[in-house]
Amino acid sequence: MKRGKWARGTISRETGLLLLLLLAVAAFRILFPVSWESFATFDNFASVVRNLAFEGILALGMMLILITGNFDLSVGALASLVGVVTGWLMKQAGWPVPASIVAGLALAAFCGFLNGIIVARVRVNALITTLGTMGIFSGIALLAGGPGITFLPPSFARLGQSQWLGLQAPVWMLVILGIAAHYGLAHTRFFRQFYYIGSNPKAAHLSGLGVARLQILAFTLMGLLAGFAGIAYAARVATASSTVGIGKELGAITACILGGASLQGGRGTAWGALLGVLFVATMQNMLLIKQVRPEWQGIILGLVLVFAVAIDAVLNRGRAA
Amino acid sequence: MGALAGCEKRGGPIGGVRPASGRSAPNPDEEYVWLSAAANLPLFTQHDHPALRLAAKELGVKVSIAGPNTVDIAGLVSAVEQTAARKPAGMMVVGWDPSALVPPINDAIAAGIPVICVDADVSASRRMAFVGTDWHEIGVRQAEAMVRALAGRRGKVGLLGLIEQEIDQRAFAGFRSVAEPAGLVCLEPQQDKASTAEATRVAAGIIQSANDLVGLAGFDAESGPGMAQAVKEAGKGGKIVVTCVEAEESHLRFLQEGLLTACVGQKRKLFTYLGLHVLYDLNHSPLRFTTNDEALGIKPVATNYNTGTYTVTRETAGLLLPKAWGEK
Repeated sequence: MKRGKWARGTISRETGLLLLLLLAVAAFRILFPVSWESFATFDNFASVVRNLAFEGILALGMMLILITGNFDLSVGALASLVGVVTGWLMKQAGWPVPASIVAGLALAAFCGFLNGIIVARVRVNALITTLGTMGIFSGIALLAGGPGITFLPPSFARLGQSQWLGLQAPVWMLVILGIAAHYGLAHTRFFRQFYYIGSNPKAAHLSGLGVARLQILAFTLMGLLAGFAGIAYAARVATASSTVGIGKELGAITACILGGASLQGGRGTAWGALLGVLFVATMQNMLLIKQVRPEWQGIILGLVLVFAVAIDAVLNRGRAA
Repeated sequence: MGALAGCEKRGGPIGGVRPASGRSAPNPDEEYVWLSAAANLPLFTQHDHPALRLAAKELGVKVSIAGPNTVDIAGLVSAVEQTAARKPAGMMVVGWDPSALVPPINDAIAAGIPVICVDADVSASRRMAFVGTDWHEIGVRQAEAMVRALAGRRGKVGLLGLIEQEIDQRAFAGFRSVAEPAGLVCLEPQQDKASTAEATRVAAGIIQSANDLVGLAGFDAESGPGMAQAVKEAGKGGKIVVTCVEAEESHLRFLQEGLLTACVGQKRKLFTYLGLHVLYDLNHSPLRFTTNDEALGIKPVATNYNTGTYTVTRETAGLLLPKAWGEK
């Protein structure tokens, strides 16, 4: 986990990504001074972070899972499902808003727990398990929510639409969850066990760590965070959409890998996950502001992503040597 | 349809008897299949599927729904091929990809299965008919509504949609044909992946990128709510005119809030309702146009069915909405 980066003249993936982001922003300023006027505004910054909050919360959970050596493809579908169920409870079933939110979060944690049980106890591959549950969650969301549950109560919408210091509530939720995840992963002995079981589960098991129990916990936390993301988004738009999470799992995984996680487990930080999401969102925003054709946006973004990870791979090789 | 009697049906169900209308009656096992990618999209399940079942009940035939639940073109091609292999009485295919679907549709027709396209066309194929909206018209309708709402204001307009789709490209062209002569500058269309969240993100970027942005127009079902949300969050309600396709509840609430100006609705139920009748007529119609229609490749149905559109504005949205939150 600790790399002694500066002491050895190397930099961590997170620092490298931050430098790359700053470099990209500087290049944008030099190359496109007119577009820079639109980019470098607080309104644009607020818009970027508002729109990355959903994926950012998912990325935090995904980072926990990736550190333990697994991944979860069902998180986007679960976020949709939780939003729809929460919306349905308050709109159709007439439950009070707080009770609906608690029930939604409980459902989210339970679905994550189920994923964990199947992966850790039944020992079904995480790819197959979460691919299957993605279909299940997505199907139930569509059955329950149809084209979406609109006109959610104003008291609920306020939770997602209220602002502080010019930033909307989901952004602050992301910040708080990010700080909590960072504290847990970087400063507590308990969450350090996630790195051990991700790096070498057999050795961790022989050392007396409850590998399965920790994996189940990671999936449960992932589910809970997907619930937060789904509820925050539903509150932001005052509508529970049954399709809002489609494809978001891949965005979250991409951000985590960019931010220093490894598909082999044992690596990654909460800070890295957030930086990965911010990096992708900023690149997308710059391309949009420059009015680049969408086909080229995909190509440029793909090249930048590969470049960012390749640079790290080269640096890693340097470290190994 | 079908007032003439006395002609044999072609390649239809076995043992059919001719009802009073002149059409032969269906075989009880006669099955028609609707195929699409993202087959469980809420729009499909809310409109297209119920209308398909209604038409099946009226005609006394079976219907089934097939295709992947994601925008998986290879999966859709495979579903068309596998469905054709079991020889249903007819297939209606949503043309998500105007080129990849040509071979499987042509193969199915070569195997004697009537195939039509609904919702989105595969015009390069030998499909026997297309039932759906004229997307050029959707573009024209949106641009007309926007020009009217702008009342002489000029500036830039952002376009969102599934840019790779032929129907969206036709809509963009229709929009430009009205907007540009009216002095509006249409920006490069942007991809919103048929996702509200993505449409919000993209629209937010467009709003930040152009100070003289006066309008946004969206061409897939999720564009409208996404654009409206972005306009709301940017505090530009009333300053940017937003038009979109579809008029579902999620669109109507934004219309009521004044964040959307006009929604151009499609008569989606007609796609499958009329589509099934077209397929049925391909098997059962008594109409004959020459002494040898089959040799000449003449079909007893029209080639194109434009199902039309309707426009909903803030003034009319309330007529379609259920009671809002808090109203009893």
